[in-house]
Amino acid sequence: MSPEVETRSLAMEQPLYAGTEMAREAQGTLKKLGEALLGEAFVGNLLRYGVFASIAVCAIGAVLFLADYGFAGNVQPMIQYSARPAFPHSVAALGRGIAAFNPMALSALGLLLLVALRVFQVLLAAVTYVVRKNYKFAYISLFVFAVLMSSLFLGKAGG
Amino acid sequence: MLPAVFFGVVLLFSVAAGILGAILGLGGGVILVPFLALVMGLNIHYAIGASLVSVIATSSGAAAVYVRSKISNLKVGLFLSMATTVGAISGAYLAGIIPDRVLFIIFGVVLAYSALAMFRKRKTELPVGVVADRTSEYLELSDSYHDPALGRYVEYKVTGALPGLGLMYVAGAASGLLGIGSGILKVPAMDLVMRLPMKVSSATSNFMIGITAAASAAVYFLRGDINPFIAAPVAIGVLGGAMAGTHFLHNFTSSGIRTFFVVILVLVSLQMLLKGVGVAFY
Repeated sequence: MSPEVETRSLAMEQPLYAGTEMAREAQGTLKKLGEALLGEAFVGNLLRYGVFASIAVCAIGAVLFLADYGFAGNVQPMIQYSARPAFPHSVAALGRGIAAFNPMALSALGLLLLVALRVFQVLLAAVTYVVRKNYKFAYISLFVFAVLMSSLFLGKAGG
Repeated sequence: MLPAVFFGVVLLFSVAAGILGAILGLGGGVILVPFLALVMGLNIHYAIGASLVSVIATSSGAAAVYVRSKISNLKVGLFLSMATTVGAISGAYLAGIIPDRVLFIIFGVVLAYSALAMFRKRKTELPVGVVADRTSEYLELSDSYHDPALGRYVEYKVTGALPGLGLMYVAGAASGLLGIGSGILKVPAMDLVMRLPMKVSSATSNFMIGITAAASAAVYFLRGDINPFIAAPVAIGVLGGAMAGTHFLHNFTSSGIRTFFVVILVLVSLQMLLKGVGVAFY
């Protein structure tokens, strides 16, 4: 067949199948999106980016602190153990510190985000197992998550 | 010392601890606590608080790589974490009851025994003749991974699931008591009792220690034991080191890692035993 005839016949064929083809493609993309959201690649990436973000927050706080106090005076007062420390050690104090733009509070926030991310990872695993209908491990993951959450409340009560 | 210098020194050492931790399945606590308390002269509370942070950082840095590359066994890790988390909470409460010296002696003995058992296995590259037990079959824990040092896929079975669970409770309690991730107890338990390949034990331990430490972290934070000025360089350094360290695991052989681990076990065991009989370095 000559090239012009070829192109014309292709052009004639397209309108007939375009609708279904596009619909099929859309369905395929949605399915891939759904799989991607709950797939291991997404969870793995979420954790990686979350870790980077948390440590970045921590590092920014540290750099800001060092910019102010890094080269003046002794390190002793900053590392001296005290029963009533100057740095935040409650969520309320942390909130106040962040609001006051305290760099140490920002650093502490980054560290806590790192911890929270691990807890969140377990919850995410539970959800993934439920979706994949692996109920044995959904229960196992939920159990671990429950114990982790209860440590928070027990910690508050005891500490 | 200038604060910036302190920060830099701690940061550098933490990178080394992170690399080591990622390869051996430890959180770096066993190396960091002596360093922070002895060399940097920090109060033990702050050393342990920072160590806890380092465990979480090592775990976060290493686990992302290991879980994706399927070297760590996620199912085994989650299953065993049921026991470590409960243990961690118990440990925090038990801290007030059992005398410290008794604890150090117990741990010293356990670590010494682990060192001996792993030393005997040091030439063994991969476990042979492992038959999955009922629990492992039920939970379908057995898996396979690609070992670049051997250049092939390794299929393995899991056994001793319930004894492993019991040991993990103890490891968790150690974590709650001492603020460590107790990879130092988890790796031998998985290697010797559950008969997992060494690299899988190490990688799975890396995944688990983060979860265990997270269970204790809230308590330590609220007690004011986590000083951000100390914990920040530790976290940053260890994270960087752990991510770099994951790439080295590929190239080591399992027997190489095991031998390395035995050396660390012996050192820590000696330290614990000495503390138990009253010779305190920190």
